[in-house]
Amino acid sequence: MSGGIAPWAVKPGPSKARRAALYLLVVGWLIFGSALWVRLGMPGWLSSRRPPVVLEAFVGETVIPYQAESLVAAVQTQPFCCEVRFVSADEAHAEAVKDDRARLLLEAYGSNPFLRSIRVTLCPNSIEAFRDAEVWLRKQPGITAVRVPEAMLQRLIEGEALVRSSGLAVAIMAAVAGLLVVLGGLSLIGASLEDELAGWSRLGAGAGQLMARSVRVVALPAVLASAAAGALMELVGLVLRFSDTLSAWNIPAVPDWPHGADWMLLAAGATAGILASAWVVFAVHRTRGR
Amino acid sequence: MLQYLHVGKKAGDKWLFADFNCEVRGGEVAWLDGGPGAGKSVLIDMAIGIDSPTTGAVFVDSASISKAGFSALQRIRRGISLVRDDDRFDLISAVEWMELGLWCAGKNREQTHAFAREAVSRSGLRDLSDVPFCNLSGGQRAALSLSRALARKPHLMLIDWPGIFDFAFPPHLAEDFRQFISDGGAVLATGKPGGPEFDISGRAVSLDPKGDAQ
Repeated sequence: MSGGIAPWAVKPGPSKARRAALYLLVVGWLIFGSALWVRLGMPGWLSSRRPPVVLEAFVGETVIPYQAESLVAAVQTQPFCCEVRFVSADEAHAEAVKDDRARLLLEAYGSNPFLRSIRVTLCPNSIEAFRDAEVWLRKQPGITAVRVPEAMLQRLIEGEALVRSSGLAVAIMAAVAGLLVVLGGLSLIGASLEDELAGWSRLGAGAGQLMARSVRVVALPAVLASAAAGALMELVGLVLRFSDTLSAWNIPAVPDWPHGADWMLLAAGATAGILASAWVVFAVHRTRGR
Repeated sequence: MLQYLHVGKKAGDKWLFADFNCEVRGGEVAWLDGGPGAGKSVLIDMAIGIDSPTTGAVFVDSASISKAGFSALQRIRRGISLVRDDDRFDLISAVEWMELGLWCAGKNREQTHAFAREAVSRSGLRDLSDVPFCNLSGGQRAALSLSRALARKPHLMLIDWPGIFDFAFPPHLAEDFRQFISDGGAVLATGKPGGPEFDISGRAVSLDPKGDAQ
C-alpha cells in the first residue's frame, strides 16, 4: 500500500481463519470435481468398455454378388455401423468346423447348411439403438433374416443402467458434500470479513467499495481454489492414464478427467464466490455496520 | 449539525436514558457528561447509525439517521469522523490504516495516498508509517486517530475516547483541531476536550441515567 496500491487491496485480516478456509475450499472443490468426474466421465468410460456387438443379416440365395456388394456399401453409410464384413457360406462353414462338436454334426449333415451373411459390428455409442439397426437391416432388399445377440445385449444394457444410476447417486452425494464443504469455507471467510466490512461501513464506504473488498477476500480465493482443484484433478487424470500400476494390477481404466470440467469448476467457483461476496455485503448492509 | 430529539434507549426492561434532547451546531464543542454505563457511547453510536434509538430521532444535517437508507447513511457517514479506540484494522500499517479511512470518505487514490502520508506526518509519526497499527502505543494510536479524523475533512467529529486529550499531541495537531472548530466543524465527545495543548471551550451535556437529560 505504501507504494500507492488502492486501499481495498489491504492485507486480509485474520490469516489463520482465512488459510483454513482456503484449504476447506480446495477440499470442497476437489470433492465437487470428483462428482463432475464421475458424472461426465461415466458415459464415455462405459462406452469404451463395451464388448463388440455384432448383428448378422442373412442374405437370400437369389442375391447376386454385385447386389451383395451394394448392400455392404449401403450398410457402411449407416451411423450405427462401425465395421461391416460380407461372410460367404464357405467362410461361415469354415468358422463353424473349428468347433469339434459342430464339425461332427456338419460332417453328418453332408452339404453346407450355412447362408451368406453380412456381419455388422455396431458402434459402441449405437448399442442402445440396436433395434433401429435391426429394423433397417430387415428392410433392405435381399435380407431374409437378422440375428441379434438379444441375451447378451439385455445383460449389457441392464448392467450399464445399474452402473450409471449408481454413478449418478455417488455423483450427487459427492456434489452435495463438496458444496457443503465449500459453503463451510466461504462462511468462515465471510464471517471474518463481515466484522472488517462493518468497520469500513462506519467509515462511510459505499456498496461498491464493500463489494470490491468482498470480491477480493471471498470470491477470489473461491475461484483460485476451484482452479487449483481442477488442475489437481487434471494432473491425477494424467498420472492415472499413463501409470502402469493400474494395468499391472488389472484394474479397469479410470475415465479421463472430462474436457470442460475445468471450466465448470471455475464457473462454479466464480458463482459461489460472487454469491458469497454479495451475501457478506448484504449482511453489512442489513446491519448498517453494527 | 447534530440533533437528538426526545431520544430514549431501552436496554432489556431498563431505560438507559429517556427523552434526551441536545443540539450541537457548527463551530461548537459539546461533551457528554455522565457516569459509566450512562449511555454516552450509545449516543455516539446513534449519531453514526450503528445503534438506533428506542424513542425519538437523531438528525445529522437535518437527515434522520435511523430512517436513512444505506446509501444515504453512507453519504452522511462520509461527513462524520468517529474517533474511537476499537479499530478492527490493527493488522495493517499506520499509513494503510490512514489511507483506508480517507478512501472510505470518498477520496480518490492519488488524494488518498498523498493525504495519508501528510496526515501521518502531522500526527508526528512519520517514522512509524509502515509499522503495524497494532504495534503502536495508545498515545500514538490516539494521535493517528485524531489526525485521520481531521484529514477526512468532516462536518462533525464524534470522539468516544475518554482521556484522549490527556495525551501529549504534537502542537500542530492541536492547532489543526482548533482550526477545524473555527472553520465550522462540530464536535461531540465523551470526555472534556482539554489538556495543555487543547485550549478549547465547550459545553457539557449532562446525561442523567434516570432519563432527565438536559
